[in-house]
This record gives sequence, structure tokens and C-alpha cells, in this order.
Amino acid sequence: MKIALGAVVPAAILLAWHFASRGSAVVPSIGSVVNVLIHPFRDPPDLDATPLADGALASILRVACGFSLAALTAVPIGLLVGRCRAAMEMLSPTMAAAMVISPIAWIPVAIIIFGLTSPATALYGEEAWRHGLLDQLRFAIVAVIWMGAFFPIALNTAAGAAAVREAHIEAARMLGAGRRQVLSKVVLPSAGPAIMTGLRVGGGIAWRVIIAAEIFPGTRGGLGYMITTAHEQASYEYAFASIIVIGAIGLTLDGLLRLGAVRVGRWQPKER
Amino acid sequence: MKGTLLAVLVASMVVPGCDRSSPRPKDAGKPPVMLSVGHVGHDHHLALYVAALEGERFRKDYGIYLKAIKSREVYDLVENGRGLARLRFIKVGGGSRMPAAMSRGEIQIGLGGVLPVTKFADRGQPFKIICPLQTDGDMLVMQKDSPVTDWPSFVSAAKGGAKPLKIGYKAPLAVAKLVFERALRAEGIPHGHNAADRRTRVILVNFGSEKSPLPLMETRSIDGFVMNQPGVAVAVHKGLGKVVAELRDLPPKGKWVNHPCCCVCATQQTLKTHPGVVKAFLKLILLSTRLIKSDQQLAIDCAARWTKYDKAIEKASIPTIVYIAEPTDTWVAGMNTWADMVRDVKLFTGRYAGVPSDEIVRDVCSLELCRAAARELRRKGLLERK
Amino acid sequence: MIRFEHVSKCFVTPARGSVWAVRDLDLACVGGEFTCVLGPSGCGKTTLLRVAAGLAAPTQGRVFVNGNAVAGVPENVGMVSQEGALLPWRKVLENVALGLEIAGLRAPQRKARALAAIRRVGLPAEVARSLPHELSGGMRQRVALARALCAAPRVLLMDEPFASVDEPTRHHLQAELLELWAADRQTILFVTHSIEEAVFLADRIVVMTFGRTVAEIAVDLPRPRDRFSEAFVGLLLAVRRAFADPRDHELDLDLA
Repeated sequence: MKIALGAVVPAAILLAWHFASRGSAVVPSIGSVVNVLIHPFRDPPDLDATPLADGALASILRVACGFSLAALTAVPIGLLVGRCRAAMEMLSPTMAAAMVISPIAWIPVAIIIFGLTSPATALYGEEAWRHGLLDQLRFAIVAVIWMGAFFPIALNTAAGAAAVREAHIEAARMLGAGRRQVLSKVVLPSAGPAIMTGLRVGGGIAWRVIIAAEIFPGTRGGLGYMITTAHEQASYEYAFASIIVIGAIGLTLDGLLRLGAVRVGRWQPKER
Repeated sequence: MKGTLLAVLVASMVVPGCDRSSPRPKDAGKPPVMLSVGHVGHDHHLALYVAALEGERFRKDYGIYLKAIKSREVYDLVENGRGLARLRFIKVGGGSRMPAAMSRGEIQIGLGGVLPVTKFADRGQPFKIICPLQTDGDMLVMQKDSPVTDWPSFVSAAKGGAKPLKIGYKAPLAVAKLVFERALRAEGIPHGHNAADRRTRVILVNFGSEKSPLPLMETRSIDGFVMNQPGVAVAVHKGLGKVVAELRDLPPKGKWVNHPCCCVCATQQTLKTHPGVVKAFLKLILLSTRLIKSDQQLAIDCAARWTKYDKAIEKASIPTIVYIAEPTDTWVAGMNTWADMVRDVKLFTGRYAGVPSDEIVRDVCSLELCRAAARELRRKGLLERK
Repeated sequence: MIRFEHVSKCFVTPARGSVWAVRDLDLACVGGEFTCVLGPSGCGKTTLLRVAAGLAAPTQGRVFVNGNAVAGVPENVGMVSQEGALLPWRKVLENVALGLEIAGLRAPQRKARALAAIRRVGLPAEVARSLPHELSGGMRQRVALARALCAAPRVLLMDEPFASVDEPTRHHLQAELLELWAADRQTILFVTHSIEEAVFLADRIVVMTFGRTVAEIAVDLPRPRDRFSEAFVGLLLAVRRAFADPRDHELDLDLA
């Protein structure tokens, strides 16, 4: 019954899509999109882009990089802001202001700062082109993803860290815990659910941002690039296929983070 | 958790690092110079793509060719058996993206629109236009069932129609838009972006650079658009429009014939330090342009192979584009016209503010290498005499 | 043993300015003694305990625990607070073993000692796998006590640990505490607002009001103490009379 109910909306969407594609030069047929999806490793014959699977991999790696960097920087900074008044007063206003700026607005700034540089150009210079995937991890793209994911992670972490009960910290201190142990045994686990919430929100933003970020010049791979190029070349079946893949990957990513959140927060009592 | 994130970060670096999609050949014979060439990926830059795809033919027929190291991305520029430079092709996109990439040092040679390059030169960027690539190829397209069939009927519909016409364009400095606006002015048709102004008879709609006007055409949000090829051919191929006028024929009569569109440009530093390489590159462009003009079927095939557009689209697009690589008087006059127009709308705010058009063109163009390349090719009998 | 020398503690609050929670207090608890600090809410008894625990620095004066001046959390001192302060994300066993984990003991040793401590406070071993929110209030306090005792402290500071449990459970916990204390003989400083609890547990009762000690009453009754005996009731009244200030009638004193 649950499955049947869950299928109602997708079925309605498919039906609407079918009718919209009839006689349309812009809305591709379901069949043409499926044809793209079932040949993920094929070089698109009518699109200047890498195969769908390569594009998905490039997007996933960029997001993984940007998101990981965001988590690794945002969690410590969030903990600092949450636990240290001076840090909070110094950083909170800037973070609050920066958070409301869409990460997409930072794209031109990222291009100016990083251009087409990548780990490949940093490591291999002129031979960067030999290291395709590494070269696709453009710093500018990763920076924009980082911008998108950083603030929700940091602010949620700060909120979680600030909400740690002093009684718990004092209990640990009375048992001999030093500052690092208070951090690892009390603050981090206590703030864990809030951190996971931040990661989920940040992860969602990171994945959504990649689509816009992949319009960077010099990018030839990625799902966002595929959508943009498909739009330019009027090969819309690739755009639709990319959207479906984006949705599937995004769902998987959120599912994984949700599982992590459940695991980290399983100690919280559930109200019935 | 931290460990998991660290692992993901490391994996995301290591996994791509394991990618060995381009096996490293022995580096003996690797050219001494590495240059990056920016391009847009459509058939205005066909000269580059023909050279890249027909390397073997160029080697046999001309002795100057591109040797593919990584298809579509890296080529060695070889002349008389000697590798002069390794060229990395970077698809930077159209409009101001190419000069912007050049200003960041990411490319040293660029293929793109003459107007954005001139704009950047106005801002003090040390760029020079070193040879033309093509002219024309801009059209006015209307809805397939529109009563408008040509320019005179467009003028009638604009002036006397029940509603104003909405015409899309891709960028404020796009050649097609500038020509179209001048033509509207010449016909005395009030136009602009403000739909609330009752006097406006043609409402201009910016559908965004690189974006396609097709969704707007299908939803009838616009009545037509002005754009360069192959966007025009795509719309017609998809059954979403019909060509009613080539912009070269728009009034003032004769003003827009052979209007410059794309060019090859380079940084002054590149011209200073690698003139031999640049000249060899220009020879390639000259020869490629000649081949395009003499073998249109080859041109269509190469265009379809590189751009991945349907051959039917390229077949419709390429004959409307005039590929030239040698600067002619007409081309220079066309550049003067552009400079006039840009200056009139006060878009030159830097070095070129208040400067006469011919001085601007003389300053932004550096055509000596191109002419020298053409002379050398003529001496070898590889280019027709003028 | 614990010694307070002219200890004062002042808090600066935005609304009330300087508030002296403890004023010039002198107190000495000998080793192995069970001392109750009794007073109404807001009299400074919790502050006194926190100063002894090194969680708050005295504004004036000094505190000595086991002969050492307190500067930060002293060694060999355990604390049990009113809510127990169990870490909710840790199971009972992990909570009890927390001190041992911090000290760097290996997992098998930690587990064995923690299980022993859990049994000592009268809890079944199965409770070890539960999370704190799955336990009743009384069970949580036992776990908190087990956690404190697991580290084998020489001094135990207890801040109204049984205040939030019902009376029958409180009586059980009091009896069990006395048994544990009898076996280990730590120095216990026990804060309470219940006269009855103080008389039942303490060797000596220190009465506090408004940040000062107003009386010290020795409790010479033999253990186990009969709450209904004449001597017990008499002591209750004696302690009651020690709160001489008429304002104490309004204070939260649990006469049971």
C-alpha cells in the first residue's frame, strides 16, 4: 500500500511528461531519455560532452571534495563559535551575513580567484591535461560547493555546541577529563545530532550548487555541464537524463546522511 | 565521523589521480612551448576544428598540421616536421568568457567575438585581434506560422500590428542584437526592453548568453529572435522557426554585409615571446579556412563531428557563414562600424573613451603576423593570389 | 578531608549587580566524615560545593582538599549532582566507565570495574546496556553514584542527589549510600535542603543561610537511624531552631 501510494506522484509526472512531449520540439520523449540513461558509458553522439557516467562521476567527486572540505572546516569552526564567546562575537555576524548569499553568486568571484586551476595543474603543471578526472576537480567549482555547504554545517554545529549542557561538561571534568577529552567525549557527541543536521542541509546545498557551478568555462564534464550544453544544443533528452541522475544521486546522498543522522542521534528519546 | 569525511576527501582526490586516461608517451619530441587556445565549440570556429580533425591531410598537403595528443584537447603544432608548440584546447564559452579567461592567464590565444575582445582592450587588457575568423551568419527568425516572411513584412507587422513584437537576443553586445537594433532605428521602429511603454513596437528580450531561445519559441513567449548560427539552424531544424531575414541585408543597406563576428586574438606577451608559433598557428587557420571554402561537404562533416550537432543543422548553418582569415578592407570597415556603435552607446569607458573608431581598430588589431603568414603561404603556392 | 578558609564567592549579574553567594565561610571536614550542608534554596550551599569541586574559583579565601589547595578540579574527588548528569548518548556501562576511560584504562578492565560498580549500587547487570532515558529517576541516580564511585574517590561531593526522586526511593537510596560509605569511608560533603535527610545521613550538619554558616550540629545517633525515634525527632527540631531568621519560615525547608 505504501509503495502504491508512493508511486502515485511519479506516475502522474510520467503521464504529464508523456503528454507534454507529444508534438514538442523541446520536451523530449520518455523513450529518448531512457535511451540516454541505458547507455551511460556511451560518448553522446549528438552532444559535446563526456558520457553520462563520466559526468556523474565528475560531479560526485567535485561535491565529495567540496563537501568534505566544508565539513572538515565548518565543524571545528562551529565548535569554536559555539563554545567560545570571543569567537562567536568575532565570527557570527560575518557567517550570518555570508550564509544568506547564494553560493551561486560567488561563481564569478571563484572564477576570478581560481580560474581553471585544479589539483592537476598544481601537481603537474602543463601536464595537467593527462590527469583528466583530477583536472576536472577545478578549485573554483570546489570552492563554490564549499561556500554552499560550509555555513549550514558551521551554524548548526555552533548551535549544537552552544546547547551542550554544562552539567555534562562538569561531570566529565570531575572525572578527570581535560579540554580535549571534554571536546571528544562530551561536546562532539552532544552536538552530534545538530552537526548531522547541518551536514544534511549542507550536503543538499552542495549537490544543488554543483549544477550551477559546472557552467564554469573550461569544464567539459559533469551533470551540470551536460544540462547546460544540452540546452544550448537543443538535445534536451540529455538534460532530462541528467536531471534524473541528479535526483537519484541526491536522494542517495541524503539517504546516507539521514542514516548517519539516525545513528548519531539514536540516543535521543523518541516522543510518542 | 571525522574519519569518514577524511576518507571521502582523500578518496575524491586519489580516485581521479589514478585516472590514466592519457598514457604518457616518451617525452622526446615534446614541443618546447605550451599554449592554451580558448574556443567556443560551435561552427564559427570551424577553422580550428577542421585543422584538428584533418591533421593527416594537412600534414600531407601542407606540411603544417595539428598532431592529436589527446583528441579534442591537446595537439602539437607541427611545421616541416618540427613540433613548434603543444596547444591545449579549452572550451571557454562565448561572449566575454574568452577574453575573461585570457585576462586570467588561462589562455594565450582565443577564438571569439570581436566586440568582447575590444571591450576588454578598452579596459586596458593587452589583447590584440590577430586575424578574422568569419563574418555574417546572423539571422532574424520568426515563429513558423508567423505572417512575417521577410524584412518588409516584419517592419509592417512591427509598426502596424495589434501588439508589439517580442524579439529575443542572446547578449547585450551580441553582434546580431546590435545590427538588429540599428536596423530598427533606421526603420523608425520604437524598440526597447520596457514592455510597459506603450510606444514600444518591438520589445527586446534577453534570453541569456549561450542559452537557447527554443523554449521561449515553443511557449510563444517570444515572436522571434536574432542570433548567430548554428542557433538559427537548430531552431529551424526543430521546427520552431523560420528564417525571415539575414541580418547582413538589413538597413542601412549594405552596412552589414560581411560584418565581422569572430576573430583570433592573442595576448601581447604571446605575440612578443612566440611570434613564430603564432604565425604558424595563423597559417593553419588560413589553410583551414581555404579548405572550408573549397570543400563545403568536408566542412559540414567536420563541423558535425566536432560540435556534435546534426549534419542537417550544419548543412543549413555553414553556407550562411562567410569564413575569412585574411583581413580585407571590408572587414576593417566593418570593425570601424562596430567601434562606432559601441562608442555611441557609451560602452567604451576606458582607453577608448572618446577615441575615433579607426584609431580604436588600429590599436586593437595587430594583423602583421596574419599578413606575413599569408604571404609565406602564397610563396609556397598554398594560398591563392589575391 | 576538606577545608574552607575564609571562602567568599561573588557573582556579578546584570540585573542585581554583585551577589555574594558565600560570605567568609570557614569549614573543615575530617577524613571519613559524612557532613551535610543544609540550607534553603539560594543559601549558597551548591556554590560551596562547586568551589570545593574546583568548578568555581572562590572570590576570596582558599579551599583545601586532601591537603592540597584547590586550583581546578582536584584529583580523587567525585561528584554527584541533582540530575545525575549522565551523558545521554552513552549506555549505562559507558557512563559508569567514563572516568576509567578518561584515565586510559583498557576496555576489558573498564567493563569489569564498571559492572562491579553497577552491582554495588543495587542495579542488575542488564541495566548496563540501557540508555539513561530508559531508566527511572532513582535508577539514574544510582548510575550517577556508580560512576562517581567507580573512580574510587577519596572525597565525594553530592549536590542534592536524591531531591528529584520520590520519598520511598529516596529512603532506599539514602540507606544504600550509607552502606557504600560504610564500606569505603570516603569523606562526603552532602548538600541538601531536607532536614530529615541531613539528620538521617550526617555525622555533622552545617546549617547555611544567606551565604554563611549559622550553626554546626553534631549528630551522634547510631546507625541505622530510626526516623521515628525521640532522639531523631528531637534533633530535627534542634536543627529547625538553628534557622533563627524569621524569614526562614518562607524558605523551602523540607521537614518531612
